[in-house]
Amino acid sequence: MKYPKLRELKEAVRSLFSRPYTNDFPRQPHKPFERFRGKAQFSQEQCIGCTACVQVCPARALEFQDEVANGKGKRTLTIRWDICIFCGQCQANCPTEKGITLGNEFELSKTEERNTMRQKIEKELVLCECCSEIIAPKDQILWVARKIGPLVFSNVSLMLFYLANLGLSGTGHLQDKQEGELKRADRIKVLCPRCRREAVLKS
Amino acid sequence: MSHKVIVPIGPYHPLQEEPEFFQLYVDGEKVVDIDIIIGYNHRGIEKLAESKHYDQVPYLVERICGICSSSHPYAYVLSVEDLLGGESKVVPERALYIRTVIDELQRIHSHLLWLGLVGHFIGYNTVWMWAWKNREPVLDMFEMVTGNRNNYAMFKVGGVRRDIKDEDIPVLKKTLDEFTPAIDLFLGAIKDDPVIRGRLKGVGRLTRQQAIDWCVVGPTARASGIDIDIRRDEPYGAITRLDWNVIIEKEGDILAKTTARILELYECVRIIRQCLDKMPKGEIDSDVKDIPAGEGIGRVEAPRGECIHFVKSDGTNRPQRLKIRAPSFTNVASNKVGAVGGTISDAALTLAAVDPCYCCTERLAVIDKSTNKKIMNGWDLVRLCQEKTMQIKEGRL
Repeated sequence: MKYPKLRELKEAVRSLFSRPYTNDFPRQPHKPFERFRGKAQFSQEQCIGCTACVQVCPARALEFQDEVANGKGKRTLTIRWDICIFCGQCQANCPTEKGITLGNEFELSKTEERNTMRQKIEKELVLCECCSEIIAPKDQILWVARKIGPLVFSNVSLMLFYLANLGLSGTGHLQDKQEGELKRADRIKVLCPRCRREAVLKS
Repeated sequence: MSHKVIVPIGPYHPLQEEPEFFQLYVDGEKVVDIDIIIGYNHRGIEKLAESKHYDQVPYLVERICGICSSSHPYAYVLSVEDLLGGESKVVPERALYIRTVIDELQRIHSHLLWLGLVGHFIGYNTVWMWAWKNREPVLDMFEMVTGNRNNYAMFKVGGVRRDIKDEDIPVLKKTLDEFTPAIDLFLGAIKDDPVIRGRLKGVGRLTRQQAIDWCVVGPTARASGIDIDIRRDEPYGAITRLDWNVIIEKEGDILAKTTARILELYECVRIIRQCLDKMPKGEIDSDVKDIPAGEGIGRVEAPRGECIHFVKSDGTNRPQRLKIRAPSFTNVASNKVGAVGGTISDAALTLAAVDPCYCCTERLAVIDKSTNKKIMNGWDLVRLCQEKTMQIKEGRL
């Protein structure tokens, strides 16, 4: 009977001289740990627009949209923080590992409109020179070319695009494009897989 | 002149893990009968899992419950690994240890949360504050290792997603060292304090036979003297390589349930410490590609008891069927014998003692059957519970 009273007294005296356990949160900001999974953000430079993150997102917080107009393609990638569950699946599956990263920011609640809680980035798409079909984002093709090194010369489209990007060859034979017919010369063009098959097999 | 009063508790609250609806039939002070109705908050998680990849389902199932958010993904990955030939065949050694660490850390924080709420219900708000204060470093450890205080996103088929870094291990050990005196404190409070003893002893008693009849699991069963623990009976993770004990109490009342859970905290600390010492170096993920067709079962000892996941695969990249049975489902039914016969001031405590989510008890109302008028709400019942403690306190002083 005496022992608990003594212990309580000890605690009471100790508590009297110690500071409160809680901290003064809004005025004294909380610093999350280094590996905290916070707000996910795209990096315009590192992202290659491959949409791997869109495929793996369990909450479907990521989406992409392709637009083709006037012979130019544009891919828009969007992350919605109001849907995001901060699981880190996108970062873990990003081929460049830095295209989308989870930062330390956690104070995301806002009173603004819901559609402001998102980030969009745009990526330029490479189109087939014959049928204007989407092949891939420009950054993704260059990333693949850099990654596979000399093997880039095993694929005509990849090689042509890579060389053109280095300034070693010209691009765009779009002026002599003929509808519905692929010529033998069309093989030396940046083509989508379907056009390439037709150009090789039928011409 | 006694009139029967019906006390409805529930049915749902957005924060609950498993919404329950209790209807207490009260005769004066005494609870004469109780109706338990569940199934209010159907979220369609099992169906939703069929539309996700095997790799995405852990994120979904860990959101079934915020408190045992490592038990459900663990049971799920065990059931998928059952299809692949067993956890020990697929998962690298280091990942087994990491899994056990996360699972036991979760048990610590869940038991402390429960302890705090029991303290709150009996009117000992100091116990509540202290238990939750000591839970905070555990959650910080989670944030440091997994990147979040809740929903750890650690489990994946064939391994874990994040490694425990070498520089984290001393911090983890230091936190555990500082945590042990806190458990001593709680155990001392339960053992010595006459008011807590008087309030918890003999309340909501579930005998061994009743516990067997009502198929209770986890600490609720172990407090009634039934020797079951999935960690020992069907081992998973690195648990077979470690030295630890199953805690069994004989009494079956709330005091025994509390003591069993507090003593389990010591075992958790022991297990984590051994894991951190013995953890080998190496891979944390075996990069499983294909899931064969078949059926697999995963059983995990969650903080509340046995959690079962069943997966049926047809060889594609999505499960054909996922069936989940959470431990509270069986434990809640035991209130039928636990709460009946007790007083209404013990009801909130008894219903809480099997460790369902407590939000349910905050949403109750006492309705007089004859007049159909509301006479008490959830807070009133908790207040009644707290007042009884005050009476015991003053009576003894």
